[in-house]
Amino acid sequence: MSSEEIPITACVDGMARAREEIAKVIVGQDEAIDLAIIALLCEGHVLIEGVPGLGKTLIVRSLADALMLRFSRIQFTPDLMPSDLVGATMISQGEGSDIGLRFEPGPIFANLVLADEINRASPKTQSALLQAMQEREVTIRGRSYPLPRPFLVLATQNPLEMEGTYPLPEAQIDRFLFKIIVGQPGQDEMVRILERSSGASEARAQSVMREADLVALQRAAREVVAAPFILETAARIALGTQPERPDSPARVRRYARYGAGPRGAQALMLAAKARALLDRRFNATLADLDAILLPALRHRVALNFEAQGEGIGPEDLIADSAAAARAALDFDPAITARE
Amino acid sequence: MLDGMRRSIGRSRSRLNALIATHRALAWAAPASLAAGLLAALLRALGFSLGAYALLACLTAAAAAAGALRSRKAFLDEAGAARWLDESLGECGLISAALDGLERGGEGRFDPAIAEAAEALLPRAARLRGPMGPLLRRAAIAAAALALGAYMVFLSAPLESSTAARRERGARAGTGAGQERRTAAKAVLEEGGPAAADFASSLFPDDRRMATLVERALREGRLDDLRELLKAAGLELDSKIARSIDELERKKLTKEKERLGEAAAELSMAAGDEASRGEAEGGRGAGGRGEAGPGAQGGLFAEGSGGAGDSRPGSEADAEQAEGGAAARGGKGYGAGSGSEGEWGRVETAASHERLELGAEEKGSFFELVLPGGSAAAPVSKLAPASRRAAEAAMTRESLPLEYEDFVRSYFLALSKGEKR
Repeated sequence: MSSEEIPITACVDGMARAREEIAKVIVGQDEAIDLAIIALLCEGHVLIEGVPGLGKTLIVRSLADALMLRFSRIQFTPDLMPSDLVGATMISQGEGSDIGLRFEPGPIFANLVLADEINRASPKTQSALLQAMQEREVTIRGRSYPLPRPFLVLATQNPLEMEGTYPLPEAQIDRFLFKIIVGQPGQDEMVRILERSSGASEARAQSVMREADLVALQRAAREVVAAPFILETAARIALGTQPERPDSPARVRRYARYGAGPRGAQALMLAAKARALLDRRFNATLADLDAILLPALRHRVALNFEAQGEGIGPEDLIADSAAAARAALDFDPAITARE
Repeated sequence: MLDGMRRSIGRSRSRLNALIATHRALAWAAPASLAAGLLAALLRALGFSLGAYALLACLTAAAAAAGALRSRKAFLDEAGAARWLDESLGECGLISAALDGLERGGEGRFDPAIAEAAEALLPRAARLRGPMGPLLRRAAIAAAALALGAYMVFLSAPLESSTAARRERGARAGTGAGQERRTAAKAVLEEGGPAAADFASSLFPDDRRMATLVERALREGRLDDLRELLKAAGLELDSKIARSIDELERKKLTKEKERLGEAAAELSMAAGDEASRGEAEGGRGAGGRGEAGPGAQGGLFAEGSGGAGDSRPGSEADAEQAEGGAAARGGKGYGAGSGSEGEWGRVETAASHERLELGAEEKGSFFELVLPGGSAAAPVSKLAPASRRAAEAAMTRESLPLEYEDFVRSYFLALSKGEKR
């Protein structure tokens, strides 16, 4: 059965069940889980920023379990080589006396890849990962090896220990669909985490969704309808983060070094569509845009020193841009009930 | 399905655009009404004969039409109307998405499902009429502005009619009163007796003492004394006019003086003093400015005050200026400066920082009248402020010769410094 023939509502139901399975394992971190699922539907990649021990690995493993996907985890270190990541060609001897070269795939050949502490690897290794993320294939000795579909990289960064790290180049950060900030759990969540983690049995997500359903959802997400005004708003928001534009909000012009480009607007729109689909709607809305605004754009807006000095974050500038874009949608006061 | 949806959205669009146009028309009409009302009232008050209410109505209507035309820029297109329906129905852009899908030919995977869902909303959408609150508020403001504009026009009407009526009444009254006085003057000189009392009372209705003196002079046929009395009254009025800082009061006093002058002239005419008549008229004509024309001595009331420089009490320098000013104007003047001499005799004044004193060396009829005790004294602190105000007002009106202004100013400044000391 092709993905076109699978009833999309059944796929959405399947994803909802997978979400429930993940929630059985992970306490809290709802936003991170939802955004990871949306990124999966958008075939995007996620950069997760948070201190160690917040369940980042568990989120990815549970997602893989629930969706019946192959999972791999790569701990990035300064001495990690690109071949450690993508694989290498090795000399092998067959059954006869023939000696040949055999490609040994690296850990990147998985559906869900957790690139832990990506900023600890050298730029060369980072570049290899980011190239694979973008092209969804690996080329070794002139031969291309396609990566499995679906393919999602969840890279983590530790914001505390920056010494000895190689911060990701701004151009490469742009390749991540979302940047998710994982926060510390609250007291109630902490109690529930203790209950679950200190027991005799370890909770594990059950596989409830087939790979084909996921691929069908990925296709369906792109077919969700976005009305022209939604597209215009997404474009306005992205452009409104660019400091060189005269119609950008004042704070953007003052504090931003550069803003989101076309890739940011694409991420915004696609993620909004995926969110609408997961919400069992076939049309994206402004609420969808609002929900994914910060994770989709916060890593695409760079601030200048003045902003850093004054405690202005990219979130502030994105909020300004969104407010300006929403204001452009306002109706004439004559037909606005609230005057 | 497409037609039904398009029709429904189109109807909503028409209603909303009508609301926008009306709202904008009212928004433009309100200030235009006020401005038109003000303009019409102003033109009417200035005497332009035009249909003030028609002007108000035309300008308001023109502004409303301009506003409505201007509102075309804010008109909603089909997508805008669909978005408004979505927002009003709280349906998360379903109608917009359906319209978009249908415009694309409905070939999308989810287009039919969206169109079906949107179609179910159409009955609810058809019931939406657009918010009336903003429109009503705007209409109330516009109506109030129009009413205010009309009221301004209305107010300008009685002003115009009352001015004209007053002018007419004044003209009638002036002619009538003049005739009456002329007849009365003739009767007084011919008959004397009770007519003299009536004439004197009509000249000085508020001053019994003056009325008595005039009556007595008339009865006894002392025309010289009568002339002196009228001259003194005229001088007093001049003094009051010079001191007055209230424009209305000044006008009233000036009219009173004119009336006195007219009465004196009529009396002169009645007495057969034809030679002095023209001269008296000359003096009367310039009475408002307190200047006498040349040869104004012959009439009963042809005195001339000699200009503003004559009346100020002060130093020797004042006196010189006063005399100079009087001479320049050809009038006699009654200069109060030290050493100046009028026909009433020599007057001595002495001013210090504390007191101003006025006395007469020789007693005459004039000083019996104006200074019954023979002299007068008043604290400078009481006199100076009023005089200073009068001088300032005179300078403001440019009724003081330019060459005297510095002098007058420095004089009062010196007086103020003396007071402070």
